[in-house]
Amino acid sequence: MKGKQVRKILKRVLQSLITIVLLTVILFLLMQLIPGNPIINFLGSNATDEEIAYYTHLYGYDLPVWQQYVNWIKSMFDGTMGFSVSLQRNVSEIIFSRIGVTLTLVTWAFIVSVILGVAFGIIAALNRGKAVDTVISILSNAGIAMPVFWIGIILILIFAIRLGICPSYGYTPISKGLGPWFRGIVLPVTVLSFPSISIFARQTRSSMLDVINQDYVMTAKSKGVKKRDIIFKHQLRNALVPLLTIIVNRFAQMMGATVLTENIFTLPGMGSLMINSINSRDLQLFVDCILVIAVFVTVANLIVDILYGFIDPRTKE
Amino acid sequence: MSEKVLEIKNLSVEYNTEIATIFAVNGLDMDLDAGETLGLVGETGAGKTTTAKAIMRILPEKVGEITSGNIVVDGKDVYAISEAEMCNIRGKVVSMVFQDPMSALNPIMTVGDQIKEVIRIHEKKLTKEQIDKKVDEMMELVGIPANRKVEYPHEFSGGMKQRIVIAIALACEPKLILADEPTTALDVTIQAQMLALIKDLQRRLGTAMLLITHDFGVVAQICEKVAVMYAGEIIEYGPVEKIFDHENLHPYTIGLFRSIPNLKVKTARLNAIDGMMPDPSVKLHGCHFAPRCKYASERCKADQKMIETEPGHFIRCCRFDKEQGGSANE
Repeated sequence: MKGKQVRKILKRVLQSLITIVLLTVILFLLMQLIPGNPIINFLGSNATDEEIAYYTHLYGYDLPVWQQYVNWIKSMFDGTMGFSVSLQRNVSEIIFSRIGVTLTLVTWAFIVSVILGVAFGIIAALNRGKAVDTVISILSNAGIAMPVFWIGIILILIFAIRLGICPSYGYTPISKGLGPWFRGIVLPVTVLSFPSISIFARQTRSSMLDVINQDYVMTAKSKGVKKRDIIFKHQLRNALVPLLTIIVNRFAQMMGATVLTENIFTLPGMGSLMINSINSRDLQLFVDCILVIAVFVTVANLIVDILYGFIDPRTKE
Repeated sequence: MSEKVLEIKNLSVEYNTEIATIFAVNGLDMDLDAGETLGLVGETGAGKTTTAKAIMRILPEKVGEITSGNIVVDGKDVYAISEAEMCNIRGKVVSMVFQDPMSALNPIMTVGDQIKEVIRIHEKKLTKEQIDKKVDEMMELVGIPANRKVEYPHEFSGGMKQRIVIAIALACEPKLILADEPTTALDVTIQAQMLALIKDLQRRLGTAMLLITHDFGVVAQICEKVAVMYAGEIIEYGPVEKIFDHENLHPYTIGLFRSIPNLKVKTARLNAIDGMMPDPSVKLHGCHFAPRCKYASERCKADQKMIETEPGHFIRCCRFDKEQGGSANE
């Protein structure tokens, strides 16, 4: 039994690794297909042919395609992740300096939206058809319908410009104090979590309604289980099973949605880095950014699959 | 007169749905002595399960409504106490076995934990070790090796799941079990095992049982008394031997017996009772069965009383009412 589980987890890890390897191939091919040349962009339109040829050779863009791929993969292992022509630094250094902001933003937005979304969903399900339910339904529909950039602008208008409580742009690291950090991060976190709260609330509500009148809930009631224990031990735990996939998929989507949020608040994270890398045709930097995000998503999915084994015993076999 | 564990007086239950009001139970009276087994028989929709849920006070919230009457379980009026007090009664004084063992257990809790839960709620004085020991005892009592308590419901067969449901229901030695068609979802050989198990445990623990079923065979096997329910009313009530002698019965009960196929005679078609159950969204007056009854007369339009035709045998039919010139006994 135990050995079987370990083998299953190992198999899943191996699958994830294969996914990442395939991804590097696809990303690399994509890099070849995207029009634009990082060297020309870097040198500007006045560059001479000799200069272009020199730098193209220097950064290895004249090598055969397969060799460029091998060099890229090699650079993963020596820790440089390639060289960014536009920023003239190793990609790993650039990403390392940026990823903290993105992870802080996404992690907090994720935590906030899971807690609030699930809580609202439970409240709506338990008060089905009442005013509370209707209000939550309307708000969550609105939350999905309102575009992120619009919410961002409105929040900046109210809290940064009118009230002046929060800065309208930029990131303050936590090392500069909890207060300033919080004021800087609270608006972006709100913007990023808004659609997720709505989606979690809706999904939790319908998932709870599915289990709320199941026979085993009746059994639990007839055992004398108190209402609170019925909700958390019997209903919510069963409702979570289908929810888990949605929640983690949402984490992946948030890693992507952060591009918009970071640009609205001009936060120095991965999202704005990606936009910059596209603008300067720094394809090496661009694919590395995507790869890093993809690895996070793959790992998140892997964690869910392993968690399922513990949450839903039926998936063990 | 022995101690009553269940007394229901004039119980009426309605379901208020958006489409219509359903009159599920209409003025039902029922008593159950300690240790006694009563079979509650009737077709689907007669109000049997509603009655059981009303006793447990687990009717669907807001939809199910008690419009009249009261239910007294072990001396306590179920609808006069708080929800917290009711939680102490459920599982401890009265417990319920549901129809479908496939869905009656929480799929993501081990069966041991599910038995443990009910013991932990009601036997607060027991230590952890004593609770674990009790779980093992209950598993063995229903014939499942105690080392399987760490397994999940999907690892058991249907019959074994029902054994676990029964173990949960009996874990705190309740005074009354409501068994809602406990064998319907099981195949015939397992049915017999399960009935023998229930009967044996009931005798050992001295528990009274309300057995809801539509299977007269089951009733004959383990019940002492029978109540036949039709359209929300009990229309016949009596000791099992009086009902099964097939003499002097309510026309509906006769119809029920006639519809049981006789294995000794070759039958092409089953003898069904003509007509359909009345629409439960219409409030009925007079005899509920009259529209399908071949003896129906003008007198059936009046509300019917329970008439004691012989000691302990009651029938809700005016044909047995001698004062009104009933003719069925002659």
